[in-house]
Amino acid sequence: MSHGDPKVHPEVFRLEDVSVSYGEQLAVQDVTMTIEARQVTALIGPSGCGKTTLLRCLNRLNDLIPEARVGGLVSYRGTDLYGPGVDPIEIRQRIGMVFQKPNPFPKSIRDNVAYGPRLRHEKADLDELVERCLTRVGLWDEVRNDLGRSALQLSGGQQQRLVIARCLAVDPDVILMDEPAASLDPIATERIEDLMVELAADYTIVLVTHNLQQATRVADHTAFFAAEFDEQGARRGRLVEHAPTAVLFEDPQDQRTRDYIAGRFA
Amino acid sequence: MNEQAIRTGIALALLLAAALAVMTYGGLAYRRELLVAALRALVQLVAVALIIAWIFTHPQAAFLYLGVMLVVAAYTSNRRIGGDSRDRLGILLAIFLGASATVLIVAVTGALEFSAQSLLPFSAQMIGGAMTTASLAGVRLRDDVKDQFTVFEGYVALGATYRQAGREFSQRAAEKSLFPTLDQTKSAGLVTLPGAFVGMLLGGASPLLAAQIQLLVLIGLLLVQCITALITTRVISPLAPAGHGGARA
Repeated sequence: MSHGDPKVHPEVFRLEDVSVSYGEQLAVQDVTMTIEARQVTALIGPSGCGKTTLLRCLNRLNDLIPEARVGGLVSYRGTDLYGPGVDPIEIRQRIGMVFQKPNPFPKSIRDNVAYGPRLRHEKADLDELVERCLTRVGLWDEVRNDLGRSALQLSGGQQQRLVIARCLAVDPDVILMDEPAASLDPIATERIEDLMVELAADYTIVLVTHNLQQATRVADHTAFFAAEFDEQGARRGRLVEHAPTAVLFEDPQDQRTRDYIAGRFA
Repeated sequence: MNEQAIRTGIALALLLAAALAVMTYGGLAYRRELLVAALRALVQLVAVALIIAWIFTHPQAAFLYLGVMLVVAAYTSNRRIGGDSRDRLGILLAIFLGASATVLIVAVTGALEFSAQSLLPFSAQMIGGAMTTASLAGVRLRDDVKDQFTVFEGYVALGATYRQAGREFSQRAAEKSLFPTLDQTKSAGLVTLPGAFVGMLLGGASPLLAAQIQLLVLIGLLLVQCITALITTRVISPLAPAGHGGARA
């Protein structure tokens, strides 16, 4: 967490009045926040508050859902991500994603890591790259003699680290993590958390988590989202408060944040 | 009308009435559908018989007939898959290439006589088989992508286009679509007597000739389906178009 004075970190994302809807249903409303480089920013809040929806806007993965509409401005390093002429393919290579459930490809360990570089027809030494990425996630020593083995045979924690290595192999700028440890045991969780902190030295990380302790352990900044209900009873997420993690947990400004933190820690 | 036709009519009426009676007795639904299906088959087959009889005297028209069949097959298969017009074009190509490769080999080797009489029904059967395979392979591809959507998303999140991500699923989908034909071919003559074989025996051909023709059909179908399945699963979009429960670029 000690990545120094937050003020020296340039902004990577700037969100202005961002709303996301699925058809008629508004999922997230009017989110305005910035996300800084080489920091871990955690998005927390109860289920259905739109954290994951918002996360998936940041690399245009919501494009996969035809009814999804994004309003407002999502700016990535000064580029409107939803502006004309923006290639989502390029965006996704710059902004990687790790999912809640490890989703290794049904391929060998080596081919999982090499998939992204091969897509880009990179001719560089893939063996060296595979080793570097697997080393970075602390998996190399466990699998170095088994690179041809199916990734599906790894444990859940190993699979998740493999997925992170796969993501690193395309040399991203940002890594989005959607509850990356939600399906893992405590030891595997700890390894992923340590890894996040390590990776934040070189990458910007945006983390969705239900686990408040995890946010306090790994995040430099935390944004709290709450679910609100409109007159028709439809639920939508709103950003309540966004602050350095220590500030948000020790001195929350909003009563809803206080209640949530008290409830979840009690 | 000759006597044989009258006897056939009587038999058909009795068969249909018996089927309806059994359905009624057993409390089975879909009696109306059965009746409609039977009447459709009657009208379609008589019409086709008349058309083909005409084509046998005007062989150039065979190409037109097969062309229409090809288009109808592509439409039918695409509707089953729930594709858009671009998918339909891809399926048309897949069926055409599969069927024409097979017919070419059979015609060039002289295994079947180069005449409308033998090549038309053979080609039609190949197009029919290709259509079934295109449907199976396409539905399979989209189902697999839907079932393993998190893996599909994983490819996309690394910068794969939807098509590139879909290609990771197409091999398996193509393989699975071949199972019915493989089974049918393996069990030919043991579990069932295949259509062409039965037809030729009923038509008075020798069992050995019937077997020859049936082999051309079965092995021909294998080639047709390999080609059609491979092409279909590579050219159609792995995602259903908007409004069909999926998304696409």
